This record gives sequence, structure tokens and C-alpha cells, in this order.
Amino acid sequence: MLRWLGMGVILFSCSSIGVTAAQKMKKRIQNLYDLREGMMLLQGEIRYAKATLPEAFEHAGAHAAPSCKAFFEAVGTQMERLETRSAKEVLVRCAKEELSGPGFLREDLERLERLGEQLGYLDQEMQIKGLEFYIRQQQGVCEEAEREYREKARLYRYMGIIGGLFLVIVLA
Amino acid sequence: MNIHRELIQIFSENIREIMKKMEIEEENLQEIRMRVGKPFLILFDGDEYFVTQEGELTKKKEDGYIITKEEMMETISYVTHYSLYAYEDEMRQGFLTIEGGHRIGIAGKMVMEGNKVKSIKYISFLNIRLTHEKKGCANCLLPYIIDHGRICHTLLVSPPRGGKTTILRDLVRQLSNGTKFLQGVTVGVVDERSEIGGSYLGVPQNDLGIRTDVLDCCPKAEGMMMLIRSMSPQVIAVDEIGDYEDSRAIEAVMNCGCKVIATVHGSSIEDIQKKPLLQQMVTQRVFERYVILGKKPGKIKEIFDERGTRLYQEETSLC
Repeated sequence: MLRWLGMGVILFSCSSIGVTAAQKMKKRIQNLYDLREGMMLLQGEIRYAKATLPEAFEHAGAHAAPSCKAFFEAVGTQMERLETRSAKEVLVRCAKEELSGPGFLREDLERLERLGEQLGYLDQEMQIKGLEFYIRQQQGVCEEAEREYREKARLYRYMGIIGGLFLVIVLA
Repeated sequence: MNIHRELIQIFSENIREIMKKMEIEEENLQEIRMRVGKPFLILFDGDEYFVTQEGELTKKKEDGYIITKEEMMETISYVTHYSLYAYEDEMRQGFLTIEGGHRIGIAGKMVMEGNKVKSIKYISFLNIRLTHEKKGCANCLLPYIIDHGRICHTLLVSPPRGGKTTILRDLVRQLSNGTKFLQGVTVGVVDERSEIGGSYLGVPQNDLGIRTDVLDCCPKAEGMMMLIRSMSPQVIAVDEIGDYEDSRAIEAVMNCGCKVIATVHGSSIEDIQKKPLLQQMVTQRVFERYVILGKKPGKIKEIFDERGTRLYQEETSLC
């Protein structure tokens, strides 16, 4: 009886690992889309209201999706305090604090860092173009992540189950 | 340290430290001057001082803290909240207004497009003019501009730094809230340079009264007509009228039955009569009261009515 129970636990655990890996991929896609949407809001704030960066981030945060709401709001609040020498420093700090969970990869944060280098530099057109470039780039990353998900999600799930079965057989 | 944190925060880190050490009252601080490669300078209580690294005020220029290019860049970054682009229009005019209503004048290399100023680069000079609300400074003026319960069209005349905006601000506040001479009236303010209200994010930082509507950063002539159409004010207040467009708008406002209180640069009634635009207004008796401010900030020198009769002069008691 105990043996069967153990086998069940192993099979369940291994399957869960596969399912979790697939879910993580799915979550990242959603997060990337949310971040892209947040940046579109930011672009709108700068284009329409010519808002300053702290103001634009705060307003965008109020309408952003829950996954990146805290990030936008934190950037807005910290920029308002004028405690760092550049906008980039605030962006990087907040990205590390608010977006470094399992739903984001290091490369996602690096893209934000590059965006930070452009924010606040020169005129309004420059800001809009910089954000446009980021949004386009992010769209590409989202599509790439979706393609990867379609290819690998099922594989991860099956690998989890097969790996569990393999362990069960070996241990039996 | 007696200077507000919000004001200190706009400076580079080194200057913040210096300012924290300064033992002065912000109330008497009038201007802060920064010039790249030159000593840090302030105008305090009507007198000019250099500021040392230790935050002490001195008259010796060699002891003054020297402003570096990096500090200037850092300060610009803070002043604009890392968003130079958001202040493009203000920069073209040569100044911008920050939280608290303080006005920052900027100078450097101008970037031209045809005959027009496109932007400014290599900003090397800053003049931070601190706004001060002096509530009650227009108390003694009120009986002269309110005649039998009606407000007179009034022109405040003074040279730069004469205190005309400060008096205008207090007049607006008192007319809006109501005084012992008059019940509160709806006042519309066209604040082209954000000096009257010192608006930040659309909200006046200075007290302009409970019945005041403000059009911030709006050209005067256009703003006056917008207010007439949209906010039905009983009084319109504008600062520093200067061209024929303003004059035409003022006449249109007066024709609508609205009272106008305006300010203009000048030192005497004769001085303003030398300017073609104002001469025409004086001749046509557009304004009913001319308030001439004296050499000392906020001090009233003379008051005339539309016929040029002197109603008050410095030697007599105003109140």
C-alpha cells in the first residue's frame, strides 16, 4: 500500500515540475504583454499630456495591469523624490525590486535598462520614438515567447510525466 | 537649515549639502544664482552674498563655492524631474516654474530654427527666483481700488522686483475671498508665466482665494477671452501686459462688464505714457486707477485715477 502511495507521490511531483515550467512560460508571456501595454500608456502620457517622467509613470501605473502596476507606481514615486542622478538608476532599481520574480527573465530587465538610458534624453519626439522602439521590440519578444511556449509547453508537461514514470519504474 | 526640502531637492547633491548648512530664513531669500565656473551666489534680504562650502554667507567672492558643469547638469536634471522634454515650451521662453511657484530663469546657448528659438543647450546659468506670498500686503490698497462698492479697472506699475506680482496676488486673494469693503467675487487669473498662482500640475501653490479660476501657462490675450467665455469672471487679473493683442483683449473684457486688474513694467505715470501702447490706454482712460510702486519692494509710491488726479502719494498715510 505504502509503495503504491510513494509511486503516486513521485509521479505527481514530477508531473507538477513539468506543469510549473510550462505555466512559468505562460506567465512570462502575459507579463511581457502587460509591460508592453504599460509602456504604451506611458507613451500616451508623454505624447498627449507632455507629462514629466514621474507623473507619466504614476498615471500609467494607475491603469496598468496588476503584474506591473507596482513597478510603474514605484518608478513614479521614486523619481518624484529626486534621489538618484538619472532616470535610468530609478528604472533599474525598481525593475529589480518589482519585476525580478519568476515571471521575468534577466534579458527582460536588460531591455528596460536600455530604455532607461533614453528616457528623459532630448525632446518629446525622442521619448516617443524611444518608447515606440521598445514597444516594437517587446512585441517581437512576446511573439518569440509565444512560439517557444507552443513548442515547449507540451514537451515540459510530457517530460514531467515521463520522468515521473521512469523514476517509478526504476524504483519499483 | 530653514529652507524647504522641496526647494533643496532641485539642486545637485553637493549644493544640497551646502544649503542644508545655511542658517538663513527662506522667507528672506530672494534669489539663488548659479553660473558654471563662478561662485554660488544668493540674494538675501536685499543684499548679495557668496556662499561658502560650509554654507556660510560671505562678501568675499574668492571664498564662494564654485559651481561645476556637472553640478549644473545635475541640477537641470532635478529641476525638470529628469524630463527636459516636458519643459520645451517654457525653456524657449527662458524660464520654468517649479513646485512652490518658484521661477527658474535659464540661459546658455540658444538653438535657433530660422528666426525662432527652438531650444536651449549648454545651460550654464540659472536664476532661481523664490516666490513669496505676503498675505495682507494689498490691505491698504483696497479702499483706493474699490469705489462705492465697485471694483475699478486697475493698473499696477513698477520696475522689475518692485513687488507688483506679489501685490496682484494678494489683491486677487482678497477680492476672491471677500473683504470688509466688498463681498467675494469670481476672479479669473491668466497666469502666462505661472508667477501669480505658481501652479504646479495645474494646482496653484499660492493662495488665490476661494472664488478664483486660473488658466496656467496660457497666453494673456487668448486666456482672457477663454475665461470670459467659459468661467464668467467678475474680475480678470493678468500680469505684465505688453502688446497690442493684450490691449485689445483688455478692451474686449471691459466691454463684457468685467473688471481688469493688470500689471506693467514702468517707474512712473510719465514713464508708461512714453510707451505707445500704454499711452493710448491712458489717453482713452481705459484704467480707472494707476498704482505706482516705489523703489522698495511692495511700497506704494502714488495712486492716480483715470483723469490723472493723485489720490495718494508716499508721504501721506495709505491706510
